[in-house]
Parts: sequence; C-alpha cells; structure tokens
Amino acid sequence: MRAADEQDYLDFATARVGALYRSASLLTTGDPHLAEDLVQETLGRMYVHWRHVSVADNPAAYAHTVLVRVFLSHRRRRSSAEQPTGALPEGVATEEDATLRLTLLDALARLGPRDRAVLVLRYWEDRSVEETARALRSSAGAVRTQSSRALGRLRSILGDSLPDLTRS
Amino acid sequence: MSFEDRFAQSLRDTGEELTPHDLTRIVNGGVADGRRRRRRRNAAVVGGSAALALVAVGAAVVPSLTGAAQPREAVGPAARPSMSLAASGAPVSANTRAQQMVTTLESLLPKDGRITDAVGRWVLPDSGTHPMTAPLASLVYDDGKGASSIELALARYPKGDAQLPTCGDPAYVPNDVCHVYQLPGGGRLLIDQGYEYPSRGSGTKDWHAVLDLPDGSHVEMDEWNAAAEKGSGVTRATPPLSPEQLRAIVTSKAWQPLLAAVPKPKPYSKLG
Repeated sequence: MRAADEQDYLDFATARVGALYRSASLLTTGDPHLAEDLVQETLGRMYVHWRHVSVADNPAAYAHTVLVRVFLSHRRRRSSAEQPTGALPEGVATEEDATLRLTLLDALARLGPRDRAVLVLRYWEDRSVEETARALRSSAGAVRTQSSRALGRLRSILGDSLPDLTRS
Repeated sequence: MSFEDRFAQSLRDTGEELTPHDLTRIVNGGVADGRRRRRRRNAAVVGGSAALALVAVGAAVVPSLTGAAQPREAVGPAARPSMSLAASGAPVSANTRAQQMVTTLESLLPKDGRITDAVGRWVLPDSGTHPMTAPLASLVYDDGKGASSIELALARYPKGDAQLPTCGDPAYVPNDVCHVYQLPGGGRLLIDQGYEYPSRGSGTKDWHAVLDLPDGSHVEMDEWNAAAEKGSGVTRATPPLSPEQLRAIVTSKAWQPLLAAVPKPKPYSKLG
C-alpha cells in the first residue's frame, strides 16, 4: 500500500474502530477478546481491499457488513456451541446501567448468532430491512421474519426488565 | 413504549458503554492482519485460474521426490538459479504436482508425528501473464503434544522484483519475535514468531518463515499451535516446529524440482 493510501486507511480505521468494537461487543454479547479479534480481522480485510473500498459509497457501512460476516463465519468455524466466558464487559458504569447491560447481553446470548446479527444491524446500526438483507445475503422477507421472531424470544426472556423511558 | 422501542433504546445504552481500553492497539492489529493477508494473497490464490488443481492426498502416498528429498536434513539455501526439471522432460500434471507438494512437505517433517487433512494445490500462472503462482501444501501435524496446522507455499517472482522479506513494524506487531537473515549467495530468510491476532499477544500463535532467493524463488511456511488457522482452540503452548526446523524446511533442496517447475514469470515492467 502506498504511504498516502496507508495514511488514508489509518485515518479511516482510527475513526471507525470504536463503533466497530461496540457492534462486535454486542454481537459477541460482551466477550471483549472475541470482539477485538473480530474487529482486527475486519480491519485486516478492509486493509487488503482498501483501494477498492476507499472509493466505495460508504466504506463505514461496508466495514460493518464485513464485521457481521466475519462474526457469522467465525461462528460457523467454531463447531462448539456458545462458549460462555463469564467475562464482563469492561468500563465503569452505574450499578443500574451495569444490571441493564448484563440483562440485555444475557438475553442476546441466548439467541442464535444470526438472530443476533439481524437485531444488531436493525436496531443498533439502524439499517433498513433491505440493507440488513443485503449484509446477510438474505431476503427482506426472511429478515422481517427473523427479526420479529428474535424480538419475540427476547421478550419472553426479558419480560418487563427493560426500562420504559416514557414512564420515568 | 413498545417492547421494540424499549429494546432499541436499551441496546443503544448498552452498546455505548462497551468501549475498549486501547483502540490504537486494535487498529495496529488490523493493519498487521491486513499486511499478513496481503502477503499470503501475493503468494496465494490466482483468481479464476483454469489451471487450479485441488487434491486431497492421504498420508500414505509414497513420496515421489525421493531423489531430492532429504528428510530432516538441515541444508543451506535452496534453489540455485539454474536448476532444471526432471530428466524425462515429460509434462507432469497439476494433480501430480499438487501431490508432490504434500509429499515433499511430509518428508521434511519430523517422522514421529501423525499427519491428517493433507491437501496439495498447484496453481500455474494465468495465461502466462500473471506473475504469481501459489503451489501450496497444507496439513495438520500432531507430534503427540497437540494438533497443529502447517502450510507451505511456493512462488516465483520476476528476478530482482521480489519484495524482500522484512519484519513488521513493532508498532503493528509488538509481540512478535522476528529476525531476517542474510544467506550466503544473496538469499534472505525471515523467521517470525507471532500471533494470529497480533495486538493481543496471546491466543493462537502463527509462526512463519519466508525465504526469498535472488532468482525470484519464494518459499513461505506457516505453523500454528491450533489445528486450524482461526476459530479453533489452541492445542498446545507453541507450534511444534522450532525456528531452526522451520529454517531447515523452507531452505531444503527438496523444493528445488518444484520451484523449477513453476514457470518463470515475466518481469512486472514488461507486463501489460
């Protein structure tokens, strides 16, 4: 990579790494090591294709798509089921925040990786159904079905434990 | 507020809290990962090549390069510029070459191990214009102390155009132990004891050796302390072969006939 391209890439990676890490943390339900691995691999893939990626419409969105695909292929490669790490996400927060975080991450951890990917793309990254479908190489109909089914599962796991901000 | 809205809000609150301690480390790890990918791609896949041969070879195949293969021999730099192919002159099929990749690698590994998942590949230049080729041998080796994935790739670069191997910038690979050796006759050998995910300095280790000779011959080998490159658990503390063993394998004369069988690429400057 030429020096100018590399600087360009480093600027991009530095600007996006935080957001990628947060997405990865949600996908891995708070496993900091795996989240870091996924982001590193995502940035590595972006590096290899940077000359093409850098002129694309939205390199940032592309990076998140790559991340989700890396996550899903990582899940496929790992033949064993979910590996609970017991590791808590890092960072300091209020007790109430910490409880909410654990509850939500616990609940997400009980979903399959693809369900989780759909929810993270739709509700964390605010992607449209169509964009989510493209990222997952799926159809809009399948994404809608998967999304509502995953939300239903979460609802049965979480019950009323999510705060209703309109009431506070 | 619907459950959907509460979930979306909670997800945002949760996500915002998840911040790593050291973002720079991850970026550097990403750059190192990308450079390694690029290095492998350069010595690897020629997209869409019709000459691709992918052959799974059982460990029982008899080595067919016995004339050249000296198991466990620690020899000097391989591949003199003027080596020639087998005396018969008969064309050798890609499948045979792919098998030879595997049997040659097997013949150079310590004999007390078990070999599984052996795959050979022989890719030839695309229409004679692609300067890179990627003959490859890949297998899982277990010396009784844990399975380890091992790969070795060959390439021929235009004479004088090969990128000389250099160790990564410590900013990107702070945990690697890496050395480059100047060999008699002008060859360069890199031995890098690093990690699959460079920023972490723990987890799967990827040790690799790269040999470049003045005539453009390129031999590259990786070994991991896991049965697969990524996504499988670590099976042992370190990969099974020492740096000295890596050196002996990539510099072995056993690769000479195969390197000689890789057509010489045209210099980059004369392409297109």
